[in-house]
Amino acid sequence: MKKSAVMDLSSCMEGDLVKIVRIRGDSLIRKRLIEMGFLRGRVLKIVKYAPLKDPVEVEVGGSHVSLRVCEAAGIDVEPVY
Amino acid sequence: MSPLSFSHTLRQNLKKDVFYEKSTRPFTIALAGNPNCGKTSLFNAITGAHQHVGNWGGVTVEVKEGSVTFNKNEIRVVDLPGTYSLTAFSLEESVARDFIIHEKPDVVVNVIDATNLERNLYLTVQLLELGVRPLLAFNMWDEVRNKQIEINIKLLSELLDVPIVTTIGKNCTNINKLLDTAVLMAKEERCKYNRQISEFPAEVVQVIEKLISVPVMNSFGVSAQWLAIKLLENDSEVRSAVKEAEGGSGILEIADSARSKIELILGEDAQSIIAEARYGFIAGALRETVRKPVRNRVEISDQIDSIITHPVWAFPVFFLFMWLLFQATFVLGAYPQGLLESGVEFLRESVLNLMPDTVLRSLIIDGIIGGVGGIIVFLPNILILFFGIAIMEDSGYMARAAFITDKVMHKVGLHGKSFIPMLMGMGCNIPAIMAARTLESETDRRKTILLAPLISCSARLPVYVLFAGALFPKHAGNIVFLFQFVFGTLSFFIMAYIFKKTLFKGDEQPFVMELPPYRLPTFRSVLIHMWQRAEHFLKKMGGVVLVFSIILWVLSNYPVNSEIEESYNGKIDSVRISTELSSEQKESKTGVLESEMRLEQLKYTGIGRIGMALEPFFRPLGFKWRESVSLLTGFVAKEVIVSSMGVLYLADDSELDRDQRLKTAIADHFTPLKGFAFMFFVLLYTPCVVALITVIRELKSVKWSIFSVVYQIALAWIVTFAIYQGGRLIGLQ
Repeated sequence: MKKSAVMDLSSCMEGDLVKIVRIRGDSLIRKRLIEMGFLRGRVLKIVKYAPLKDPVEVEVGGSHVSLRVCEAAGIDVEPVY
Repeated sequence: MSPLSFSHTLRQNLKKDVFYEKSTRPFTIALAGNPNCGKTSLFNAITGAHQHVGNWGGVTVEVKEGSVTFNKNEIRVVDLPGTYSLTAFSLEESVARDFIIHEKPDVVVNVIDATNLERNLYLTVQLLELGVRPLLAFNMWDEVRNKQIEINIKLLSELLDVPIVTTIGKNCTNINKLLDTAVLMAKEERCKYNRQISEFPAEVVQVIEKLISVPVMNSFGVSAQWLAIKLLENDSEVRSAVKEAEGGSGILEIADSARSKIELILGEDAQSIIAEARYGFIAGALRETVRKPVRNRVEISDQIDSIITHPVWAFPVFFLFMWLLFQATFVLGAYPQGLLESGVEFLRESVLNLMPDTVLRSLIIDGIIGGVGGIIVFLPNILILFFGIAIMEDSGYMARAAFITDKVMHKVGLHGKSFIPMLMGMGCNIPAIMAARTLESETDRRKTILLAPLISCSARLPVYVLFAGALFPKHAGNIVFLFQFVFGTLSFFIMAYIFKKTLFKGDEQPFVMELPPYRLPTFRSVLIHMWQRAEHFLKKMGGVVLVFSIILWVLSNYPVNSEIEESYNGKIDSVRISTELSSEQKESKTGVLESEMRLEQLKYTGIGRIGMALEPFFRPLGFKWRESVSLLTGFVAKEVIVSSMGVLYLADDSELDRDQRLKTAIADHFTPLKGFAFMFFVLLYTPCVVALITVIRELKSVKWSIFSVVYQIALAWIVTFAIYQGGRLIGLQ
């Protein structure tokens, strides 16, 4: 894994497909993300940003989940080509 | 929440064994499942209208209960809060978990959105870990067929070693089969499960086995394996329960050191390792049993979302829906409200005509009919608002509304879903406070309930109209607009921000929220939902409001001073028999005397005395006893302030030009500055007694209820003080 390829989810663009590398952040948000299927190695699709650019809707494992940009910033991802 | 009380569990176990002897004991079925899995529609399908909303252990989390008689078996059905998991991080999860552990339902029916098996089965795996063999209801089976997903139910059921029934909650398909299986399971006691199922890494399995071998671990009345897993996950409730037990601190030490060792070896925290193992197990089971077609078409939900959450159109659509909801609730609702009001009026007049003029009649008319009438007139608003909210929730729009408004609300520490209570508050605070129930997290809900009364409701309008008309005749319209729409909303946001920075500092709830696919709400579900709210409102509020109305009635009528009455009656009589005055002069003189008498009597009553006693409290705000008394009467309802001002300020009791004369009287008694300050006080202090009781009922906490009252009055006082004294400092009148 090239180090430069890793970015946080909040810097992704609509339509991007990314793979989860790591979930940081406090335990409450982490726990909620994990139980909703945000797991290392899974592919996420950034579906769209809300009209005011926060929160962001992503698709993971068949569910659509919305999270705040500050919460998305705690998820490290790498692009999927 | 109290930590798991395992001694309590033990006692329950003993009781349960006794109960098992008797076959007459009704079965208990608990429904567990993710939010949006159709659990509630399945619950409605099973129980029909035989259900009620209960609350669990004094928390605001709702647990619905219902009953059904099936093949001569009496079955109690409990609808647990929707959860993704069974850890103790959120109140909903604690409630669901405690119910399963302590109440030991005979069968846990795990409702599964069969179109999204992977995530839904995550909860199932946790049930299995807990030693519960659930009955899986693969719900929304019609959607599975529509989406051409193939699921090998038989094989999956064998792999998981749990029974599976496919269901369609919205049209009651296979409900009997589900109940049949449940009854069978309960009778055969096939609900126990004891197999290590998750494919945990070897390091984790070793630790779990080591922990299970400690004898104390088997003395808690729940599966030792589950306790071990929870200790590795660092579950706070399980930790504190284990700590209390003998030798508990030793177990914690083993678990803690094992956890750090595992994290060191596997390079990830234990929580994620365990979650990944669970998901790995699920993926393994699904790989062999589920075939999904390659998705080659855009789903309907995505198409709808292309407008609903469109960068430009999202807000116009949102405001259109909000406008419709508001209009339906308060404009359409005004018609049945009018009918109810005339019904109450009819009742009042009948009593007036049928009963002699006694204290009892006055109590019945003003205390009881007035009080009950004051509640039921809100019923149409509540029914319509919750009809609308149910449609928005069941269809999936609510999540989108939160999605688009969250940025604004989050700035002041609130959740996107707080928007609807805020908006509805402009009609009436009472349904608005109740609408805070749509918020999942208790903190968000509490904040919204505390803030909703600051929004200016329509009952405050008559006060603004009177004062703006009397004191600012040139700008009356603008002033009324500012108070009705701007200042209330502004104080909502400012106070929300202050709460965020002080009381609820660092208490941020995660927003992570599912955007479920759009679904057509069923009429039945919407009706049940609406009726539950109305029933709750009438039952829970009725008694208390009645008591308060009677207390207020007594205070505003008693004690009566007969001396005042006698002396004024004497004066009035002497005017009447006077030979020097013309009949017109007589009439105006008696009118003045009568209104003086009324004023003197009001001063003598409980409310008058309290109001006068409170004068020193109001003096720094520029208010005298009259203002103080009128504000006190405003607790009944804000518009009452206007009518009590008539009694307090008007020297003549006649109806002639009453509005105009009241305006003149206000202009005489109030400087513009004092009037402006007064309007602010009216805006900010407790809306009315019904709203107050709604707040208390919904907060379900004495501490927070007291805080709610105190902070609103304090806020009103401080703001009014600042405006009045600040205005005087800069030379305003």
